[in-house]
Parts: sequence; C-alpha cells; structure tokens
Amino acid sequence: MSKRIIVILSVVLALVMAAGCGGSASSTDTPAGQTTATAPSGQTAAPVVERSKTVTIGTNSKPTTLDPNNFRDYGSQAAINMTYETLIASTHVGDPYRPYLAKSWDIAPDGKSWTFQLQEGVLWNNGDPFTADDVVFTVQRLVDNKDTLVVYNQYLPDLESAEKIDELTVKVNFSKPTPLAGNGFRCMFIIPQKAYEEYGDDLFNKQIMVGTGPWMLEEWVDGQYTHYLKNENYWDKANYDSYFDEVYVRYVVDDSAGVAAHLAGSFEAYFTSAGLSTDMTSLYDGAGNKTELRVVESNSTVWLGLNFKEGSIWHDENIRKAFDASIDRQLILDTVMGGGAIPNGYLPANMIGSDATLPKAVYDPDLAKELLADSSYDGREFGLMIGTNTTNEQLGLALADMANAVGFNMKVELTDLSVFTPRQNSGDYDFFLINTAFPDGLPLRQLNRVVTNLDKSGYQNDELFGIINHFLTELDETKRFDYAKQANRFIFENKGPQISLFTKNVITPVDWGIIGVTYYPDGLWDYIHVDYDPSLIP
Amino acid sequence: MLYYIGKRFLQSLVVIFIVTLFAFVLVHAAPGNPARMMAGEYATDEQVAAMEERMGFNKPIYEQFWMYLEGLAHGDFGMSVVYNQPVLPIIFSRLPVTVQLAVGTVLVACLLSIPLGVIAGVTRAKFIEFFAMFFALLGQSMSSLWLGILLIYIFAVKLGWLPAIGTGGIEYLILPVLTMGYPMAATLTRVARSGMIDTMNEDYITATYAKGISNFQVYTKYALRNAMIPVITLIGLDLAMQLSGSVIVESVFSRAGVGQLMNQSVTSRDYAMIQAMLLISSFLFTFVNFIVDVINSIIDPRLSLY
Repeated sequence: MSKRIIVILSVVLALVMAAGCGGSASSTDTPAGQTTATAPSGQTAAPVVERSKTVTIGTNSKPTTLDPNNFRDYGSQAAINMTYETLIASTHVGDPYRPYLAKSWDIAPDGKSWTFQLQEGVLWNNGDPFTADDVVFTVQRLVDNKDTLVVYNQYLPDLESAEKIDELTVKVNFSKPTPLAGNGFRCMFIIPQKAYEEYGDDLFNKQIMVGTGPWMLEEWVDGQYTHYLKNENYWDKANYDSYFDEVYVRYVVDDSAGVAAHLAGSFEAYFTSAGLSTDMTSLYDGAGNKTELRVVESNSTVWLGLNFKEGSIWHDENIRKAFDASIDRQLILDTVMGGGAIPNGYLPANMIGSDATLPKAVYDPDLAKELLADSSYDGREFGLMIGTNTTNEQLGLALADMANAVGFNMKVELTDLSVFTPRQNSGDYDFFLINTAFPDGLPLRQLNRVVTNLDKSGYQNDELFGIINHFLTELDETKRFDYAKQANRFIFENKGPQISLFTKNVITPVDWGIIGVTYYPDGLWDYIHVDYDPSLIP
Repeated sequence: MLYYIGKRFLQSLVVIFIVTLFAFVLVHAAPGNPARMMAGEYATDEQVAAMEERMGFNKPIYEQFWMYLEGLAHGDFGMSVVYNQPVLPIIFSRLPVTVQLAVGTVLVACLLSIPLGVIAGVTRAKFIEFFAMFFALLGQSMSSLWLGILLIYIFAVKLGWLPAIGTGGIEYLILPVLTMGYPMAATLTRVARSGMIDTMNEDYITATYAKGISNFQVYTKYALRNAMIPVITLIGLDLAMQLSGSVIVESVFSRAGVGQLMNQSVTSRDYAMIQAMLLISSFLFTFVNFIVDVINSIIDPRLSLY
C-alpha cells in the first residue's frame, strides 16, 4: 500500500517540477502570430519575420455602449473611436488641437462660435460622402437630447446649434463664450445623417456602426471582445494604412489574469486604464525578448482633496502646510509607485498652467512639526479615504506613517469604488486620495471641480474662484494660460483645496514590433493606429 | 402531482415576491446615486436632479416599488443605467456563458466525486478512503481565486496547453470548470461517502446479503439509490447557485457571464439590473429545488411530495 502512495506522489511531484522548471510558453517559441523565414540561399541577411494580419489587444476597459454621443466611460470612447471620428483631435500635450475631420477652424472673437472647414474626399464606410450636413445633424441630435445624451452634459453643455455654410463648411454656435470648446469637440464623434435617419439608434444598438474611421466594427460581444475589420476606403490612408486587416480587443477583469493571458500569448499588448501596477511588472521578467514594458511619463496626478466642512481641520493653513511638509514624495515614488515626478507647483509639467518657476513640494518633517505645533490641531483622528487596490493601500499607509510621525493622528479608510464615489459626491469624508488625468494637457476639469463644488468640499475662496472663472471664460489664449498659472500658484502656495502629490509613470506591456497602441502623457490612450514594424523586434 | 405542482408554484411566487421586495429595499438603501451614474461624473447638481426626475428616483420608495411591479407585470424589467438598454436582453446574452460553466462544473464534479465517494464508502479501504478524504479536504480548503490563478499559471503560461482567459471552444472551459468543479467535487465526495456508509449499515442491506445477492447488485441496485438522495439535493443547490453566476471565476477567466454582470451592476448602482438578476436567481433556485424534490421522490417513494 505504501509503495503505491510513493509512486503516485512521485508522479505528481514530477509533473509539478516539469511545470515549474519549464520555460514560459513564449520564451523560446517564435512569438504568437509570427513565422520566421530564412534568407534566400547565398545571402546572409537577417531572417524576415512575417506574421498574421490579425492583432489582439487586451484591456480592462470594456465598453458599455457604442452610441458615439452617449458614452460615460473611456472604454466605450476607445471602442467607438476605432470607427468614428471627431472634427478635431487632441495632441495630448496641451493646446493646440490637431486637424481630424476638420482640416482647419476659426473661433469667433466673442468665443460663441467655431467655423470648421471639413476634409475633402471623406467617405462613410457604407460609401456615402461625409458633408457638413452630418455635422449639423450630430449637433442637432445632441441639442435635442441634451437631457439624456452624456456627451452634451459632460463636454458641451453650452452647445446651441450648427449651420451649414457650404458642403464642407459648418458653423457651430454656443449659448455663451466657450473658449475651451476644443475639449468638447474632440469628444463629439460625428454620426452619419442618412444612416441614422434610416436606422435610428439601431445604428449603434444593433452594431451597424457606419463611421469614417480606419476600422469597421464587425462584432461586439459585451464583456468579451470587440472585432474590427480594416476600412479599405479610409480617407486618410496616405497617413495611416495598417499592416493589420483585423483587430480584436479582448476584455479582462482581473489584472493578474490579464498579465497571464498576455504572457501566454492570448494578446500582444495589455492596456489597463491606469497602467500596469508595479507589483505586476516582475511577472514579465524573462519575457524581454517578446515584450517591452513601455514607460510613459504621464501627467496623470495623484492628489488629495480636502474637505472644508464645518469643523474640519483643513481650515487652518498651518495644518495643511504641515501635512504637505510631512510627505516624502520621492521616497513614495521610489518604493511604492515605481517611478514618477514631483511637479513644480500644483500642476504637472507640459500642460497648460505649468510653471517651472514654482518650486517643488519639499519634505521637511521638522518644519511640519513646527507648523503643527503652531496650529489649531487638537490631535483628533481624521481619515484618508482611498480606493481599494494594492498600490493605493501601500500609498495610504505610507502617507499615514509619515503624517503620524510628525504628530498627526491619521487613519486610512480603504473604500470600495461603489462606496468611494457616493461618499465623495456627498462630501462624506475628511480628505480623499485620487488619481486624475489631464486630457489634452488642460487643467479644465481639475479647476472646474473646485468652482462647481463637485466634491462637496464646501471650499470657498473668492480670489481663487475668480482666477478659475477667468481661466474658463477668457477668450485670449495667452491670458487664459496665465490664469491657469495663477491658479497653479494659488493652490500650491495655499495647499488647498487640493494638495498635489506627484505624477506617476504609466507602464504598458506591448509586444515588440507592435506600434500605434499608445498611452499618452495626458492620461488618454488608444489603439486606433495599431500597426506593425518588424524592425523593432530585437 | 398536479396539486403538488400548483402548490409549489404558488409557494414560489410568494418567495419571489419577498425576494423582490427585500432586493428593492436593500438596493435603494445602499449609498450611491444611479442618477449621477447616468448623468456622468461631471454633471451639475441640476442635471443630476433632472435625471432623478426623469427616472423616478425622487419619488417615495413605495411609489417606485409599485411602478417597478407594474413594469414587471408588463414584462418591463427596467433600463440599465450603465448600458442604457433594457436589462433582460443583456442578462439573457450573458446567461449562456454562465449556464455552460455551471453545467460543465456539475458534470465534472459528479464524475469525480460520486465514483470516488461511493468506492470509499463501500470498500472502506484505507488507501482509497485516505485519498478521498485528502482530495476532499484539499478541495474545501482552497480558495477558488487562488486555484484559478494557479491553473492559469501552470497550464496557460508555463505549459501553454490551454488558453488563459475568454470564451470559445471547449478548451476555454477546462480551466474554469476545474476551478469551480474541484471544490464542489470535494464536498460531494464527502457526502457520497457518508451516504454510502450510512446506507450500507441499514438492516435491509444486511437482509440482501443474507438472500445471497451479489455485492455488485447490493451496491448498485439497493444501496446507491438511497445514498444518492443527499448528493442530489446538494447538486441541486450548487447548480442553482452557479446558475446565478460565480463572480470570482468569471472575473479571473474573463468570462462575461451573469456573475460578472452582477458585480459590475452593484459597483455602478444599476438598480434595474440588480433587481432583475435577483429575481431571475430566485426563480432558478425555486425551480431547481422543485426538480430536486421530484427526483428524490422518484428515487425514494417514501419521500412523498405531498
């Protein structure tokens, strides 16, 4: 009997050892989708690597709708963006925007209208020509459904009407001066009037998806994948003609499973909305000949939102400055975040309002103790509300250690997103930690949330509100940039209503040779221009 | 029989109504505002209020519940705030993935556990019993999240034999089914073994031996049926639970089933979706329990349905 047990256990052990000692499936094989061809005889050129015309991308941001004017999440926007296009597109590093379906535009001196000259020769993927009528129709749909279409509420709340000037010229009007409308226009996907009049909302709900983009939607299976085919009649083929004929975007829920799937060859790039967390990067050790960990210095900023409700400790400037001085940002970046930068002032570099003349926040625990001693702080406990994930937990604990070392009595409240958001929206917190991107390199949303009291912080400061309102409404670009700088300086020097901690590097694993799957410095990302360059394969 | 079916149907309706009421109250009592989810993160308070007005969220809760019941009576289960679509088609599009996983899990668990448990209970052989108990203990001790990741690491990443995530052919089902099937098989093994031991100790079994009936016939014809009653009951309960979706396994293996949908709906306060899925789950539970009762009454007529 005991012999049988020994034999069986030996077999099990051998299997486990074989699995553990075996290399990764992809470490020695030719990468997925590729074949290696030898050079013709008599020549000594490097082997040519051919590969299939299908590329698969993994991501944890799945779409929930395909309606180009009614998306709430970036997963939906990214999926729609493969098939639909906007009049202008972001350069991702701040003003100006770049031409897209509009080749040029003029902004009226009063800021209440934009006139677009449209690209010539653009076709919808069903062969219909793209004209000013489609733009007018799109604007009208948004205005007529302003209570239900999210794009109107979120991005173009003052949109009023559009007029066709000629077949390729359209004027879009706002109810009040809207100098920052560019941020809205880059989210306003143009829909085809004729196809929409034929199909209605079924154009999107039944996945018919007539668009002008480089890809055509073949199928969306909710929660699983989206499948695109190349649009052979794409109007901008001169600038983008992908090697690939098909794109699959597969949706992943669990990050560790996503990494495992990438390592196993299920896809060739893995995008997460905030980049790969630092504890996952070691899983790619040994896969360097197949996969590159691309690092982007993002302006995505980790910051603290302070609550100024009655009785809050944050009313006292010394307390805010003491807390700020107690944080060793560089240590956190090096040990927890896996890299990043401390901004000069409140806003990160390379965006509207950046000011290199402002100093960086300084770690000075002695100063922190002095300021705290000279403040109204009575030792009461206060909590940092922070969303649950491994990095956030480490970050929160590090902040608590540092703050408590100088005399604060701070705790960390790890909170699931389903509870975090309602608490934030109702002002039920002492302060919270959050990570925000700055699309287009604009601090638009970050400053707007201060004056609109989005976080229900109860913060009130006429001077800062005046600066921000000037930034939001100023028509002169130079003056507008200056107001952003003033807001930057004010918030940095007053340490409120927000304290900026640092920007983080974003890590994205992408297989060598795959290009055009890009995480931009402003925190946005896309795979619209996915392509293949074998010269990049080591 | 008809009387029994009618009685169970009425009982089921009562159960489903109570579940619906509790679900409605609890979901609405949880913090969070679905109107804000629909209006968007940067919507103003006025826009959120307008959305609440349009969706009826500003009405008293009893009025909202009545409106919900009226909708149900007309086959309208409500609109998803996430998808902006009716909830039923979304749920039904996800159901096949979950059903596939649930049926596969039950089949694998039964294939593994019943022979092992029955043999262990019958033979009482040291090695087989040891193996069965070890198998059961290991399966009941393991977290399915951990097991799933481990299986992915071994079979997908290291060996490359099976895909890590997703849906498709049968190869995509193997790892998720093993992840869910093994813990289920562990429990069933113990129950099958205990059932067999108890049944084999019954007087009527002694009598069958005394009549000279062969061991094989004693085990299969006389003992197995009665020993399987608790096993079948447990299979039914497990199947009903799995048809409601396994959040962990569906998330780890990125299988877009109803478990994942429920998780997403709770996070995003998608009231209509949550309520619809709870309603469907309670229906499935009562239906499966009914089937189990019928099967048990066939196996053992002493278990009268009446």
